[in-house]
Amino acid sequence: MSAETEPQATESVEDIALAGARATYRGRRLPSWVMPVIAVAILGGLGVLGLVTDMGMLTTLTTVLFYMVIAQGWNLLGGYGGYLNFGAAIFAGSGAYAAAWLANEWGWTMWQTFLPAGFAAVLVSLVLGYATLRLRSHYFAIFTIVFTFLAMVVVKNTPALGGSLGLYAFLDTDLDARGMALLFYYSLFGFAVLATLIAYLIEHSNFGYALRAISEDEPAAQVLGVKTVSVKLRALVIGAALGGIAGSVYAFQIGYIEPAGTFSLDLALDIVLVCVIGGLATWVGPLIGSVIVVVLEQWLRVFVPRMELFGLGVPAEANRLVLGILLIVFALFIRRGIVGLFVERRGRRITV
Amino acid sequence: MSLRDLTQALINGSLLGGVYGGVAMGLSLVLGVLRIVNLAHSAVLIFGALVYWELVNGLGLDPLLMIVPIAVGGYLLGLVVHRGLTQYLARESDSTVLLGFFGLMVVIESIAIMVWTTDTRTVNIGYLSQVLRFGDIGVPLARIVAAAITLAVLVALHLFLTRTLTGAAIRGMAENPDVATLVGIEVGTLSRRIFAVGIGLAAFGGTVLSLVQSFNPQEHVRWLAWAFLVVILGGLGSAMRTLLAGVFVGIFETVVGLLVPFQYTYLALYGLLAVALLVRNEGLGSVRLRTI
Amino acid sequence: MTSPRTVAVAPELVLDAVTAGYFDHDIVLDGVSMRVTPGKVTAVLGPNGSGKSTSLRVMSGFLVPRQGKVTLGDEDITQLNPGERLARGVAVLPQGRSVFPQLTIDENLRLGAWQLRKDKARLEEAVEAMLDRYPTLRPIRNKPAGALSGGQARLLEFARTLILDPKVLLIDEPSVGLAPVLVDEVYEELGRLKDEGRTILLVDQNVQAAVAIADYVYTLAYGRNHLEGARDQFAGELDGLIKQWLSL
Repeated sequence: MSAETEPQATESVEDIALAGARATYRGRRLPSWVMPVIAVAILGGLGVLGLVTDMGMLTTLTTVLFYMVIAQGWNLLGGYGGYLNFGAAIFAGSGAYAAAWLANEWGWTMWQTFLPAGFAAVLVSLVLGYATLRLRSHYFAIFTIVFTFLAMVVVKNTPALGGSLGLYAFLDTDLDARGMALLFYYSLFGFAVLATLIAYLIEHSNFGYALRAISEDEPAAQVLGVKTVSVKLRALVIGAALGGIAGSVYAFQIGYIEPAGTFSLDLALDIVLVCVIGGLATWVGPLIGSVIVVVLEQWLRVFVPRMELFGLGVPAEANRLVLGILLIVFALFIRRGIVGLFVERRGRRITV
Repeated sequence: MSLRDLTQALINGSLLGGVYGGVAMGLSLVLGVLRIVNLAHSAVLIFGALVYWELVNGLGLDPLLMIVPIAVGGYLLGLVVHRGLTQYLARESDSTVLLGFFGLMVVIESIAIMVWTTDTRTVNIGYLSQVLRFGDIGVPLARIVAAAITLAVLVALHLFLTRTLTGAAIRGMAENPDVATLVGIEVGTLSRRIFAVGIGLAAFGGTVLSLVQSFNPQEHVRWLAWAFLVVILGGLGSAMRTLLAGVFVGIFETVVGLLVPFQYTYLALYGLLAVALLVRNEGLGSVRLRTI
Repeated sequence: MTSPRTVAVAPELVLDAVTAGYFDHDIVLDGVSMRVTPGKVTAVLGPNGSGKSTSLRVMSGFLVPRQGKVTLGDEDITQLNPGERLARGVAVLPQGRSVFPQLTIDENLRLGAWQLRKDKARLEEAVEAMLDRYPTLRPIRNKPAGALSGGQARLLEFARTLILDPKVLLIDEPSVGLAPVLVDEVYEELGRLKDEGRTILLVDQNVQAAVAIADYVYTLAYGRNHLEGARDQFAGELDGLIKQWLSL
């Protein structure tokens, strides 16, 4: 039987509920400097590596940063908010298309497309959010899958966006190949740092506690005065903005985008894996997860073609099979990710 | 657009829609009774269609007869998946279920692509490929057969759910599992069987769908979206309403397809989904009350 | 329908030093013991959160205790689930609305007799017997249970609980959420059950009504046994107890 806290006339009911969520959060086994140190190590390491590695590694690390930005954004609603979803490609894709279109139509440079790309993703997220965030979380998840497919179909049938042939996005620059690669790398690096900062600030803010309250027990949070729809929408929008910006860099980096590849559930799978492996609802999780997932995928890409099963070569799809199995394993056993293994949460339900 | 075109579209649409009802039924059953969003539904559908293709095109077996082993195979697969995975996932939060089923979808899809590649396939319907003529209207026999089989299955399911005591137990369990436990219904065993039937229905859906459409494992999400649309429109809990919703979607798709270029039918259908969502908000958002 | 034989045949249901809780480190019941004497009405009272409903849940099989045991006659039933306990004659009338709203009254009753499903004749007999006992349900038997008024639904719930002619009845807060007039009807029905010599465990917040009908009373406080005794011993102390509980 839980002890009742004495009601204080000066505190609003919402503050009491949030205090409850705060109390849940404080149970940690690690000293509080560990997480920031890991984050600085990873980000700092990436900051330095960009200058010294070869082109191949640079491309791989660019992907790591790309995932970090999107994952930090996704983690707000998907991790902290408990609204696990598969919509990462919707927002990155919207941003990519906005950027590519602006580059094509009006010859905008990559720098100019950052904000519009983010904005485009935000618009899309608002449409999706208003329609579906009032529903239960598992409906939201299936909607993100449906919406990803819908986005692909819409773009495929919109000649202005290149239809099924896609769009080119050229970076108008005098830089050589390495210079361009570094440009993309450090743009994404900047955003990764920014995204991580945003995640850190949100985790330690009332907004973050509200998200966590929603994740633990949404009806209770609602009854206690948390404006759940507004909070969820805000988390979705911030996540979408980050995804969209990452998408714009992606468009220029890859140079050519088309509907099926851009609005693909593969990216959603990767981002979900990044956060689940790293640690849902933690600001360091996406950093750890991105490194692990990208390294793993690289390894699979190299190793799988060399594999033989019953004397037959194993096709490339086996990579995806491994990722799927990994997701199932994590869902069953290590739901809270690597960070979750070390951070203990005292489960105290918000009693109403 | 002439009356003949409209009639043709209505007939084609209803038959197609009947099949859509069959495609959606597995998803509806598992969602309605077990509260599980089976994200792997369309992956199983396509897998079923591919194995069916293998049996019919590859081994030359009769298309009508082969529907049965595929459905049964799906049921058995469902039992295994429930014992191995679903029963553990279902005890956890909604998020865990989503993760697990998305992972399952990826696994099944990958295996399908590994075995059958991403080629688009069409089932060789052989003797079903005639087109029956009714005056000016032509109706492919395959469509009639697919719709008829789906109708038979859905009617059988409906009768089972509404006329038998076990059917009542299932409906009761869907509403209030605690009271169901109270009266001695073995909720665990029954849940496993329902899930297995859901998977069997998904596989079945793949076979009837492949009688009227070509398919390819990379694009199975499309069917998840379709099935979900039918489920939203028809609501949970009734095989007949799922069928009607499917028919509605089928007619809507074909009639709209007469009026606008085909690429916009998707958009129209999703507009429909948005409207349906707004109207049906209550049913999807409600919290199930437990009285014990 | 119920002969005096039921009194002799009913086994004693006992909670023996039960410690139980819902979450990992949660303790709602702490070493609680009580007996449900055959043929008598045993009431369990206490303020909110004292563990009354939880003890009923342990007795009915919805909660497995961490320590202690539940016995029915000679048998240790601690690990048995609600269905297995029902097969041994322990029926539960839960708190609040426990009908299947979209199913008809008839279907609700049939599901109550689920354990008789292999014997169609006996099942039909049991359903008809319940409709005889509660004749107001008969004309509306094909109505969905969700359309029933509070009072009618309660009757249906009683019927469903009695349909297998259980030896022990566990009744959880039957008056919660009901209008006073309906509470009277419920206690009338409970009185009828008592007159039939049934073994009843009654958990309720309505202290006066529960004590009036009880033969023996237990009170719980903070998950532990507090007071116990025959009804007469309690009649005088009621006001004091109620005041005590309200101030907690």
